[in-house]
Amino acid sequence: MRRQRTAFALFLLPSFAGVACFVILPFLDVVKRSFCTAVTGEFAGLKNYNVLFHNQAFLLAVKNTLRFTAVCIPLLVLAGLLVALPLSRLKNAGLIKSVYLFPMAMPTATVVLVWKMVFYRQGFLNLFLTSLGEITGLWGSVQVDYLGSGASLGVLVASYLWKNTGYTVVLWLAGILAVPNELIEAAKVDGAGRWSCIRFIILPNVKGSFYTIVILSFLNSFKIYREAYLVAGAYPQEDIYLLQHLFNNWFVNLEFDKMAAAAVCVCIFLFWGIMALQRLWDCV
Amino acid sequence: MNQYLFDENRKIARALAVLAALVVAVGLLGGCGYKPAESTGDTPKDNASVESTEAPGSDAQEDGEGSEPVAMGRYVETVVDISEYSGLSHGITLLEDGSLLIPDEKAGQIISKDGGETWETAPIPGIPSMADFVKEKYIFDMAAAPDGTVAVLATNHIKDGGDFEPCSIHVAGADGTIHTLESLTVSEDEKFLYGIDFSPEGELFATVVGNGTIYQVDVESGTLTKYLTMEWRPDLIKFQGDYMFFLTSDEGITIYDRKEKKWVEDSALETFMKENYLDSSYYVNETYTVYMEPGEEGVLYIAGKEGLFRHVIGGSAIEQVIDGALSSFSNPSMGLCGLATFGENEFAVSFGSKVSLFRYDPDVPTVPENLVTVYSLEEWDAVRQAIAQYQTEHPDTFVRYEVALTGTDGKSREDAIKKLNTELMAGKGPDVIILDELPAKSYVEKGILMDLKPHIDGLTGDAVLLPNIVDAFTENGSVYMMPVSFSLPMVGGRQEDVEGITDYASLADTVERLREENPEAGICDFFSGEATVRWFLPVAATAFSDASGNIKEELVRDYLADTQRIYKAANEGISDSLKDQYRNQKNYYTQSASERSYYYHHLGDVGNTAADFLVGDTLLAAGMLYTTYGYQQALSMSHTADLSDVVFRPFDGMSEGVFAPSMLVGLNASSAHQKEAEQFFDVIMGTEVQSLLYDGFMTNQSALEMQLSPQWKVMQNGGLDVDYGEVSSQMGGSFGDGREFHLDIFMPTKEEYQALYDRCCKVHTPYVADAVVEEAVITIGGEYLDGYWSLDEAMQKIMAKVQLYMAE
Repeated sequence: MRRQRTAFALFLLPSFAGVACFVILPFLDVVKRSFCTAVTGEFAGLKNYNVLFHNQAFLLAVKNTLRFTAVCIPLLVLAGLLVALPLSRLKNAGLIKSVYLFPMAMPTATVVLVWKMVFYRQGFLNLFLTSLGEITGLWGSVQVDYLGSGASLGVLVASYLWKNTGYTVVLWLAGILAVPNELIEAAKVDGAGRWSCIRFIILPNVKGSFYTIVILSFLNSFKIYREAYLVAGAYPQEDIYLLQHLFNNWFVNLEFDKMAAAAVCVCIFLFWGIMALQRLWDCV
Repeated sequence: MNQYLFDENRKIARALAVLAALVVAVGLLGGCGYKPAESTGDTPKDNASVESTEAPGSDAQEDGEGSEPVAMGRYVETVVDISEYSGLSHGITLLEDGSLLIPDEKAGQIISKDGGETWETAPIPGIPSMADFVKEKYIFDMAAAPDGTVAVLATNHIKDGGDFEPCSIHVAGADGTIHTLESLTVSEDEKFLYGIDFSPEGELFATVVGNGTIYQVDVESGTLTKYLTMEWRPDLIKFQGDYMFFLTSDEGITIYDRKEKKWVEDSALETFMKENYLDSSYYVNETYTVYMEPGEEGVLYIAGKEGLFRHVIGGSAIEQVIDGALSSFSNPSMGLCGLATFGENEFAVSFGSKVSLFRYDPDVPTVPENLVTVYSLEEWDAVRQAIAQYQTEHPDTFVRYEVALTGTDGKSREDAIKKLNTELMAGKGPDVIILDELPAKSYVEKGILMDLKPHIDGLTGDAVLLPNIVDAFTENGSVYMMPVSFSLPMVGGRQEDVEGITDYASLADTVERLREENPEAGICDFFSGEATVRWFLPVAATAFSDASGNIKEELVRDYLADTQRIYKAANEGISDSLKDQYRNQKNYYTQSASERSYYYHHLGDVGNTAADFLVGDTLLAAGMLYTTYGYQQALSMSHTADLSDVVFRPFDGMSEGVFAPSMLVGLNASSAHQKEAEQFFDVIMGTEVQSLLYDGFMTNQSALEMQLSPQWKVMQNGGLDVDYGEVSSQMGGSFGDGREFHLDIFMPTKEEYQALYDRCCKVHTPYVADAVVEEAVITIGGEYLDGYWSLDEAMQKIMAKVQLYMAE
C-alpha cells in the first residue's frame, strides 16, 4: 500500500508542478498586481477593486457575459440532449455524429468568413430575405446590419450553438449509452413508455454526464470571443461586448492593474459558481 | 492497518504541501517579481548580419569580469562628404597611381590622391563644362579605366516626342588624346547603347537597351564589334584576369572565362545571390542595390544592404567582411554607386554625395559592446537611415531594429501591442519606441515614456527643433514624444472659391455652391462615404475632444453633417465617366487596397490632384502637403493658362494650426541605455538624417531651413541647379479614357518658400489619431453618408462605442 501511495505521489508530482508553475504562481502574481499600480508596482490597496466596481465597461461586460452564458448553456444542453436521445436508438450513428462535429473542426478564420458572408448588411441572409420579400410581395429590401444592431446577441448565440452542439451530443451519447440496457428493458417490461424511460431511467443515470456537460459548455462559452472579436473588432455592438473584449482592450492600453483586479473577481466568481453547481448536484 | 494508512497519507500530504510551498516561494522570489531593466543581449543576426558570431551587449561583455576574451578587430567606417562636388556619380575607380576617381555628371571627375580623405574636381578633357554638356545631351553612363581614361556615353535630348538618337561616346585618354565616337548605331532590336565599362587593360565594352548583346568598342576606329550575347542586359560588367563578371537583375552574378570562352560555374555565389538579393532590379534610379568589384587575385567582393562579402571564385564560402547593420550599407537613403578596393584591404564605397572609407581597426571589438533597441510597428526608412548614421558615429554600439508587423507572419496590430506591453511590464522593453499607431496616451499616463523636455531644452545649434512643434507636444511642462516630420493640410482651387473657405462648414458651403454653378462638373474626388469621412478627419478630429479627453458630441455631429453635404454635392450630377472612375476606385478601395494604401489615407497628397485639375475633373481639392515636390506641383498649376487663378492655402477645418506629425519618437523611461537612447534621439532628430527624408517637413529647424532652400532644391534635382521660379521638370500622362495632361513643374519663388516655412513655424495643433474613436466615426459615419442611418441614429451608435471606450 505504501508503494502504491508513493507511485501515486510520483505520478501526481509532474502535473502538479506544471500547474503550480504555470497556473498557480502566475495567478498569485496577478493577485499581487491587483493591489498595486500598473507599471510602477506601488501598493494601491483596494483602489483597483473600487475603480473596477464603478467601471461602466466592466459592469456592462459582466452583464453581457452572464446573459450570454445564461441563454447559451441551457439551450446547448437541451439541444444536445434532444439530438442525442434519438441518435442513441440508432445502431450506426457514426456518420451523423461526424456531421454534428464538423463545425468544431472548422478553423475560426473560416467561421468568421461565413459569418461575414451571411450576416453582413450585404450578406446572404439579407439577400435571401429580400428575395423572399420580392417573391411574396410582403416586404421590400432588407438591409439589417445583424452584427451592428440588437440582433448581434442572437447571432452570437446561434453561432455558439452551431459550433458546440455536436460536441455536447457526443458527451450526451456517451452518458446515455452507458445506462445499463437491462434497466430500460426491465422498465419496458413493467409497462414504461418512451417518455417514462427517459424521465425515470435515463436522466437519473446521466446526472454525472450532465455535470460534465454543463462545466464544459460553460468553459467553451468563453471561446466564442475569438469569432466575435474577428468579426466585430475590439468594440463590437454593445450587446456582445464581453469580458474578454474588456480584458483584451485593457491589455492593449496597459491597464494591468484593473485587469488583474477583474481577473481575481472573475476567478472567485467561477470558483464559487462551480462549487455551488457541485453542491447542487450532490443535493439532487 | 488503517492507522498506518492514515500516517502515510499525512506524510504524503505534508511532502506535497512542503513542495508546493517551495515552488510558490521560489517562484515568487525569482520568477514573478519585478526585474530591473537590462540589455536583451540579442544578436544582430535577427536583423541583418549573415555571419555574426557574438552578441552585442551580451552579459559577458557588459560585466567585464569573468568573461571570455572579447574578439577584437573590425572594419571602421569614415564618411567623407563630397556633396558639394557630386551630381550623379558613375562608379569609383582605383587608378594605377593609387588615386581614386569618380566620374560624375556635375563635376566631370572627382579625384582623391590621398586614399579618399580629401577630394578635388577636374574637368573631363574635351568637356570644359559638364553643365553645358548635360543641357545638350542626356548621359547614359560614364566609366573610368585604371590608367585614367574616362568615357561618357550620351545622346541628344529627345525633341518633339521622338525617340533617342544614336549614342555617342566621348573618350578622354590618359595621354590627353580625345576621341568622340558619334552616331553609334545598333540593330533595331538592340535599340541603343546603354552602359559602358572598362577592363583593367583599357578595353571598352558597351551594353544595349534591347537585349543582352555586349559590344567591344574600338576607340581608335569608332566601331562596335559584337563580343558576347547574353540572355538579358547586365547592369554592371567587371573584369579580373581572364574573368568577366556580369551583374544582371533577376539573374545574379555570372562569370565568363574570356580565355576559355565559356561560362564558369559557381554554385556558392549563385546560391548566395538567390538567398540574399532577390530584388527584381539591381540598378534603380542611377544607384545599385547590389554591387560587385574584383579584389585580390581570384576574389570577388559583393556589396549590398547586408554589408560587404568576400568570395573566392569557385570556392564554397561567402565571408562577411563588413556587417551592413553596422555601416552605411543598410542606410536606405544611400544608394550604392561604386566600390573600389585599395591599400591593404581597404575599401572606398561611393554613395553618390558621400564616400565611405572602410579601414580595418584591430583595436575595435569585433562586435559592438552596447546594444540599443528601436521598436516600431511598421518599418520606417528614416529609422534605417538613423541607425546607419548612428552606427557610423558610435561604432561601439549596435542598434537593433525591431519591426513588429512585417506583413509576412499574419500578426495583427493588437497582437504586436500586447507583446510589446508584456515586454515593457517585464522591464525588457525597447529603448526607443516609434509611437505611431501605438497607445501613446496610455504609455504617457502609465509612466512608460521618458520626459524629453530637459534633453530638448539642451539642444543647440543645428540640433534645435522647431519650437512650435515642441510646444505642441508639451503637456504639463513635459514632452514625451517628438515627431520626426510632419505634413500640412491644404485646400486648393480657384482663388474666388478658396478665399471663402475659412473653416469646415464653409468648405461644405463652397462645394454646394460649386455644384449649383456647375451641375455636371467634377468637384472633389470622393468615391465612398467611408473614404470621405476618413479623408477630412485630420482637420476635424483634433476638435472632437476637450482638454480632459471627453468627446464633444455636437462637433462630431457637425462634422458628419458637413461631410454629408460635401459628399452629396460632390457626387450629384457627375458624368458617367467619373461615376465609372469612382466605382472602380471604390472597388479597389474595398477589395484590393490595404490599410496602408493611398486610398486609405486621411487627406491624401494634395500634389496628386494636379492631374485632376488639368483635365477638369476637379474644381476644388483638399489634401495634405507631404513634400516640397507636392508644393511645386500645386503651385505650378497657376502657370498654365486655364488654371492661372488656382491657389493653394492652409486649411484647418474645424480646428486651428493643424499639422499631421509622422514618426513619433519616444524613449523608454526604464531603459538601461538611456544615454545611448538619447544619442539615437539626437541622430534621428538631427540635420544629417532629416535632410535625407523623402516625405514630410522636418522637425529639425536647420533641416527644415535646408529643405526650403536652394541647397535642397539642387539635391532634389539630381545635382542640377535650377533657379527660383524656373521650370525644374515636367509631369505628364494620360487617363484610362485617353485624356492627356502635361504640366511644367516650376521651382517655387523665394516668397513661396518663405510662406511655406512660415506656415511650418506656426502650426500648433498635432493631429494624432485616436484609433478607436476614429474607427467608430469612419465606419458608422460612412454608413450615414451612404444612407443606411439617419444622423441621429449614426450619432447614437458612434457615441455608444465611444462611451464604452471612454468607460474602460
